[in-house]
Amino acid sequence: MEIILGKYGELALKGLNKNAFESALIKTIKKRLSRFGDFRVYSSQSTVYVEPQNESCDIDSAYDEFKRIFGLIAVGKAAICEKNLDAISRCAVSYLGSELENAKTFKVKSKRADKKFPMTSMELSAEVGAYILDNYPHLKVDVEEPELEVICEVRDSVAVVHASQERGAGGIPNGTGGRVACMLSGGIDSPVAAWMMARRGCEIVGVHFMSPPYTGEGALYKVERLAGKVARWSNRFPIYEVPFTDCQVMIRDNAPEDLFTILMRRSMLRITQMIAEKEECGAVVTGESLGQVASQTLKAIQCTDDVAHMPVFRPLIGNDKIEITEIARRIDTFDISIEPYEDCCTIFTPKHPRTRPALDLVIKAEEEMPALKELEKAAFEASIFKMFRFDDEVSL
Amino acid sequence: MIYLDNAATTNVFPEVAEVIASVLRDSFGNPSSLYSLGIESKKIVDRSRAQIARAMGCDPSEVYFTSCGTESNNLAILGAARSRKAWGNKVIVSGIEHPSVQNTAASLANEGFEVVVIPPEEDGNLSIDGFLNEVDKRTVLVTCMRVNNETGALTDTALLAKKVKEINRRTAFHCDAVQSFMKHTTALDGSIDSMSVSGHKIHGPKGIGVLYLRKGFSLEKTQFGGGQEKGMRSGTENVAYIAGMAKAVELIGPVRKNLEHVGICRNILWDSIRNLPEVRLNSPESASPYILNISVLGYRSETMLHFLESEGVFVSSGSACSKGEKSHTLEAMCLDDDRVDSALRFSLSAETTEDDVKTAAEALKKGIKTLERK
Repeated sequence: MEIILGKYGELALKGLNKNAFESALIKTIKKRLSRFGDFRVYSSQSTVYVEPQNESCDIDSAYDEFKRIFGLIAVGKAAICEKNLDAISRCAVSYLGSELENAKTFKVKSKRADKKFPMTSMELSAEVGAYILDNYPHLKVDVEEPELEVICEVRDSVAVVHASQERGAGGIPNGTGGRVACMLSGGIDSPVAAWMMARRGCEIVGVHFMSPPYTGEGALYKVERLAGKVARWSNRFPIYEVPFTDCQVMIRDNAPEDLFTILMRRSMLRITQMIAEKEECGAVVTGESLGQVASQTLKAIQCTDDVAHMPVFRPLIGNDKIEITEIARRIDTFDISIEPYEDCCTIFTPKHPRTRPALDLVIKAEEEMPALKELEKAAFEASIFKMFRFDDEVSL
Repeated sequence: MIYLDNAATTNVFPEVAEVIASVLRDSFGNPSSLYSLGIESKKIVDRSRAQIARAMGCDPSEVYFTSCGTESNNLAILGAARSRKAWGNKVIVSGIEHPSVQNTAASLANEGFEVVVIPPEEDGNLSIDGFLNEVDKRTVLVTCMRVNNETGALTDTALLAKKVKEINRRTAFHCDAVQSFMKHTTALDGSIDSMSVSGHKIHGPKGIGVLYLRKGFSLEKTQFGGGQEKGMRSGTENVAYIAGMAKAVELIGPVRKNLEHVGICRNILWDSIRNLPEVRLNSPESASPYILNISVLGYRSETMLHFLESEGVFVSSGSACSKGEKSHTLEAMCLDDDRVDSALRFSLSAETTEDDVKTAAEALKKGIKTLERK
């Protein structure tokens, strides 16, 4: 029988609270795989087993989904068989037949979780290897750099045979890291930042600023699809769409032009914190990367964080664009992010924004706009809530 | 009217026509436009792409819209072969491909590629080993259809692709699935690199096709312009027909159930004419039930075709694309001239009823009697 296997990542290192992490992981797997059929999901010895319960299970689609489950460092498909040498050998040859046929070199690696098994790992590897060589005489054993690794694991009740596994989603299970509010512009960085926090187990809530009539349907449609893509990993991704035009217009009309960007960032952060409080989030997340643009210099970040009354996480702060792009491609947001629609950040931007804004000047400029806070509150109250789930059409 | 020429084209589902009309009327924006009318069109295209991807069993990002199956075949074959020119020049095609594949391969021969043609076996089937024996390290492309348009010969192209990759993993594999889409499944699990399908064979409109391109598969584009379809197929998207094709996919129903029904109809048809002394079966026994190719010895195809037409039954002689020309599939099978000259193709759809095929069989019998040379 073919099953799916997933190896715990750092979950395996948890101490007394390991159970809580494990049950969160199993719960997510069950929820995410249920639309592909009836699967039995259980864990044992830091490995998750997913067993199809009948013929109608779509194991390929389930496996595809499984690769997006946080908390698993390595994933793969495997065959299970009785735990005796004969069964393991035959299983290796029949299950990995086409791989063995195509490889030139191989090795067998055995692991015994059940130490009562009558053979040592070395003996088991040697015997299974000999059986494989009998069936595929063209193969050579190469213990250093084999093309194919045949792994036999003797577990408590069964033996498991598989080839090398693929990289899993990594991180820790959904729902174990608290809630955070992620600012989401529609560019390349912010969905990646949200995904990284989700990978650390956080429930994510998105905050998108829109500037109608200067930004259009296109920007919103973009953000909605991005949210859908991230939701494929995070289970769900609710989004608040905040009408931000009035705040921007007030800043443009009443503050020095070169401080526009930094004042706008402070305004956004204040509104995001209102949403964070409403949603019981413990932190704000942004996609900023140090020095990428004027608002992301050290000085500018200092000026923005001056209004923060909760932690502001910037998971990409030390990443180069190329590294961020790699993740964006992996999570399938890149192609959407590069669509050309303007977002609110590019409206009214000054020709020469201040890269080293002075905090006292920024505060002074804000004091001259006493009505700004009211507009921010109005924007928060007028924001539109939308929910995106891993199985929504927009996510697929 | 009993329409049994569904391999040529199909009737457009009324709901499909409605969707097309409403998109033409109400959502005429260019999907590349930034205002909401454009976004509306873009959403229609995206939704349709996702729907078709689900039916094909692939990711929406792997679905590229073209104008027809022929264009899809051209793009896939020219694009894949040309972009691999640096390391190889051998192209392998089956001997029973649609002209949009055969003639495209012929044009590659003019560009200097070595084109190897794999003839069908005597029974009309293609042998997988026949392909594999030719695949070598210089082979840039293998192309094979899933269901032959004239005889219905079925080839397990997913398996063939897998085996080709086992010999040379750089070889591109293209599958023409125009006659099989929504009729037989084809696993897109990484071995098939590109696959063509068409809208009008599944009760959608003519003028819309899809090319599946496996994520990460590289090929040279053959059309230049505004960069639509990720640069692979420039030209303003045919939003209405894209929506129409998606609607047809949605309406046509489950592959397995249709296959069962069409199988029953095909057997009724064949069982009621197989014992006539003039009738020979040209389709392989294992062919797709959607296509039944026979010869009525002594009766020229076109004469019989027009007789059946007068009885309200529409069938074809060979494939519709070749108009009165001799069937190249039947010739490739080395059938005698009298078999080829008297061939008739009945092609069914999920809409065909048992009564339809019974009436068609009776009409054929009447034709044999009426047209008999006394």
